[in-house]
Amino acid sequence: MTNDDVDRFFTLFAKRQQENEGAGDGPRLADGTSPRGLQETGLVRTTGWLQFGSRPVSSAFLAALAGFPVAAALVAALVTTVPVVGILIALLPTLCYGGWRLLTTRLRPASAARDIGTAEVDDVAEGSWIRLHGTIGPVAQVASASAESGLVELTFVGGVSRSWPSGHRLHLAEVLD
Amino acid sequence: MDGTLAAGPVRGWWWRSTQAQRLAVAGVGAVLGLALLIGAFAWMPTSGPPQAAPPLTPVAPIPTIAATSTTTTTVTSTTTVTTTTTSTVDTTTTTTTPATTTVTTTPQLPPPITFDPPITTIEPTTTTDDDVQYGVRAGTPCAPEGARGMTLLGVSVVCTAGSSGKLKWRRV
Repeated sequence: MTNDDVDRFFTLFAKRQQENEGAGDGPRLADGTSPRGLQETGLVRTTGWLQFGSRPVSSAFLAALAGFPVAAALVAALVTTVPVVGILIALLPTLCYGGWRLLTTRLRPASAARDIGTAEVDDVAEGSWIRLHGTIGPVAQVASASAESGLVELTFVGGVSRSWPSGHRLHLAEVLD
Repeated sequence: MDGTLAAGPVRGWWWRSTQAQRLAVAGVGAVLGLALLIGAFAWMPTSGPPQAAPPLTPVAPIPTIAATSTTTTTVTSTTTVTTTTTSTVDTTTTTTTPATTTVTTTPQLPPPITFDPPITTIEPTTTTDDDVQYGVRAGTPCAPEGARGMTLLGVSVVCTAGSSGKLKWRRV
């Protein structure tokens, strides 16, 4: 084995590695990892429907918040007959929080995302993340754009494409995990 | 496609709704849920189906509670002690007879409940079975002369004529 063989081996190895990274099986986050809610189509399922300013509110927290009054009502009704039911005040919100976290991380993985503004479909740049339907819901990373007869067709990473009328405003998003 | 790109009507509306609309939906849902929960517990029967009220019956007079009561408690204990020694000479067996103790207690009961009769104005009643008119009032007119009477306070009076000649009940 000569030095030329070694150089040739590492050259081919680097080329293959570059091809694999460039192929981009799907959209990537800024740190190079895949979004948790990535689906086979290349679209990303997201969770969360409430955002104060630039801070999204975790739906797991909302689930815990919803479980608290339910636990309070159960305790108020049953504490005289079953005193141990008082533990529900702490247990039920915790179960709601954990259940939602389990759902969005294991059963139906979804990514957290925040809205960062709007832009006309004509001005959306490649690599941007956009909401497909409104202010919440699935997001996709733009791979290319093409305009034809008043319609702008965006093709997303993964191969899915969709068209909007020129001038339609889309919500830009930032995928967090 | 799993609906992510082509959402159904409900999910599509939810995704396209504004944040205020979503908060309104969540608030209404929370209020309805709590109302149903509270309502379910508020009208939950505590025990069995409701039963018809018993028919009304006349109130019986309040009985007088007996002032004394006697309770007899009998305590019986039997103890048998057997002692056996290994000596070849003697074997001792001791048996005690049963002890019987009788305890008699008289608990202190509250005094019987008594009711004062309502205060009413009793008109003088006249009874002539034994020629004595009961319930008369001294100084009031009476008849016939010489009749005997008894006031409410138990004072014997006689119907006699005074200096004016009028018959009145007067003390004997």
